Amino acid sequence: MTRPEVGKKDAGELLPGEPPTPSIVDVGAAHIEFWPRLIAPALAVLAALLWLFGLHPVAPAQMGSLGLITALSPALLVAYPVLVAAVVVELTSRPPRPRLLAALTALAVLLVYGLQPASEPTARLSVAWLHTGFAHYIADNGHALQGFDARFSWPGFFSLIAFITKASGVPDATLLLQWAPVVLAGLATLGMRALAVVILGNSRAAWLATWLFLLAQWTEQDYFSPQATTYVLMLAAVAVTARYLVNPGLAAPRRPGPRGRLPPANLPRERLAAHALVVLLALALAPSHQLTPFMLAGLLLVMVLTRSLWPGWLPWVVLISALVWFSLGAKDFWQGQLQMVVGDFGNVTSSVDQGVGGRFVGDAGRTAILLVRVGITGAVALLALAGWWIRRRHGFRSWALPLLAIAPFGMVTVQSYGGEVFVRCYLFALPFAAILGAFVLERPFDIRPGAGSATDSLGKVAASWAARVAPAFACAVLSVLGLATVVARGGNDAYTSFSRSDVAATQAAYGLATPGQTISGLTSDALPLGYAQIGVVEQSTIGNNCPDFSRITTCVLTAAPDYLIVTPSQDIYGQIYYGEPPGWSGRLVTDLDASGAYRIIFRQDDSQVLAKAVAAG
Amino acid sequence: VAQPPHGNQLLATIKGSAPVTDSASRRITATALIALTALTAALTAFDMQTTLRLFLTVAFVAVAPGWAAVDYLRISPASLTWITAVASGISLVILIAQVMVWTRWWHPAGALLTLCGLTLAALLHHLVRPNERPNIAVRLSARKDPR
Repeated sequence: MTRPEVGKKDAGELLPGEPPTPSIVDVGAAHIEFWPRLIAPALAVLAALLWLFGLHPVAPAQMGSLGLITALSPALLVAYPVLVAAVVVELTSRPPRPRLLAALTALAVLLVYGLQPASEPTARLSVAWLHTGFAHYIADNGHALQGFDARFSWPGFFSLIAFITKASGVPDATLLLQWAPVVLAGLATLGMRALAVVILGNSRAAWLATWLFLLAQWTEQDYFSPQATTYVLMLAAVAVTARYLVNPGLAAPRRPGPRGRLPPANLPRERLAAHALVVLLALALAPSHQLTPFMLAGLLLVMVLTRSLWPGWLPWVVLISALVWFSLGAKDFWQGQLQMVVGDFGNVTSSVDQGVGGRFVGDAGRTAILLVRVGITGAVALLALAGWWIRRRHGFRSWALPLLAIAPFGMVTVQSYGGEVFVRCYLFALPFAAILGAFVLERPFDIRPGAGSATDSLGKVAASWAARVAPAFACAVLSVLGLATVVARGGNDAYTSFSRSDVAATQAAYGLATPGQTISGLTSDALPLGYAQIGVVEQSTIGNNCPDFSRITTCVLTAAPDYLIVTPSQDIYGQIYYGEPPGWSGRLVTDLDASGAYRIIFRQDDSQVLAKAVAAG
Repeated sequence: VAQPPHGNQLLATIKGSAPVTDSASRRITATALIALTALTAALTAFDMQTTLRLFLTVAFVAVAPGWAAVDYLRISPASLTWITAVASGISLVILIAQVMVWTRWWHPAGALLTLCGLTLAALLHHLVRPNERPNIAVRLSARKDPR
């Protein structure tokens, strides 16, 4: 039987006007093709079973400074390479089945981003709990709290959540916290898939780009937050723009001509609809996040500068809407602290110091996790660079994609973003870097056994060998990236994940505190504080005014909060960041109790609430 | 490296074609979203205190209004349709909620019911509007595509 040749576009969704996937398997060949076609689904089922078999509850106290990886079973870890093998096998088949690939991608989202929600007892990350508190305030009061927190100056996301919870008749959004990363990362993956198909066509490269994105997204910016939601909106805006408003395409082989931008090959009403969609998304982005609308404007501007984007005014509309909100809506934020906003402008050294040097603190485990993150980032950058080089060698001269991948790093010259600037740069660059990197992973799939000159037997042997080994290369790259991302994402879980007793302790403090009183934790990063009583009870952390936790007992007595919450997660935080011995927080509780200034009023497992002697009555 | 099929795409969009299967899938999706919208509206209208209501409201906000609007635009490919539907639905509700916050006219349940009503009307229209038959010339042209 002659193996039919099938175009690359059979690997994905159809764009309008494309012929449907041709039926390449005739009746006689069907039984021959049947069993090999079961390999990918079988591997996917095996991966799911391994993951479920290896999954078990993980308490924060079980983890060391390497985080979640130390508590995971080998069977669960094996699931990731098996799933990657499933997708690579499917991509090597002719033709790949889009629905199966979509199902494999959905399974990967669940396995990668659902690992922590499935294995940890409650929602992780204190900031996610705090965001619930902001939404709770708006739901109860119908307006944002002025002068409280900079994030209230961009209340769009909190208003959305307040709208949903109030309309649903629930007190707050804590029920949504735990699985939010799966939903938000899943939507981002869908956005990436749309962008990849729009830019690359229905090719294997589009699937590989999606998987690169999915398996290299270590930044954990997909928790319950404005940035996760606005990231999805931004990806949608870029994808719509790339689909309807760009000419030539972002992956087009040639640079646009010198005679100005040409309208894309579609109908005026389609372009009008695309404009309206992008403007709608920009209007929603402006009051929702301080960075994302500016990033969208920057990416669109790059498209204008590379002469790809047809409506040259579009980035300015996005930028103006963001600036108008910043000037008027976020006045509460910048009034009196304009120096903080513009102080880092042009100060790259400060951004690098805060974004790289400032983050390399803590013990050896923490450093190892940071190195894993740097490694993933470097690997993606290398793949993108290699992809760009391969395309150059094949005559693709457009600069649009490489510049879109580089442009987000321009943010380093503007803001240090509280030391998170490189995390955000990577996040915004990743979709375009993944598309470039996919060219590297895709190339081996194009090598066919027996390729090469008929007279060149050595060439045929080499091509045959490459065709067999090459998918293994893609499999290895994706597997390593996937496992590294699992390690990196769970790297802080020893203190960013919480037990039910931690939440119960916080709830007990809320139940006891009266308006105007203070509830404190030892550090803001390791306590689910702030999900209620915003603006009613003062909620603070001792660590802000107690460098290195040295003399922590004195710091607590000086700050004198009415209620102090002490949990195992905070104990681990002190061990990792400040080299405190295990159990140091227990000694703090003993000292405070012995001083007579505080007494323990709540204890569940190792989570405790102490009340100031006066507050306790 | 594969490129988007600009030639066919242009012809198809000019002729206004859409695959036959789009109509069937559109009706199935519209039916499912009508059920979601009606259930969300009913639970909200009768103020039923159940956790399910929260998840239904989230699902409604994330998918239904956006899809009801975006399906008129006949966006493709499918992944772009869905991410656009989700993003535009979320954006719409962000703007509605934000306007209510600005004006201090805070009535989320009423606004949600209004949105459910408008969405339901659009979804019912999707259910009954005629099929979009593919243009034969375009299909023939697509088959001749040498790629």
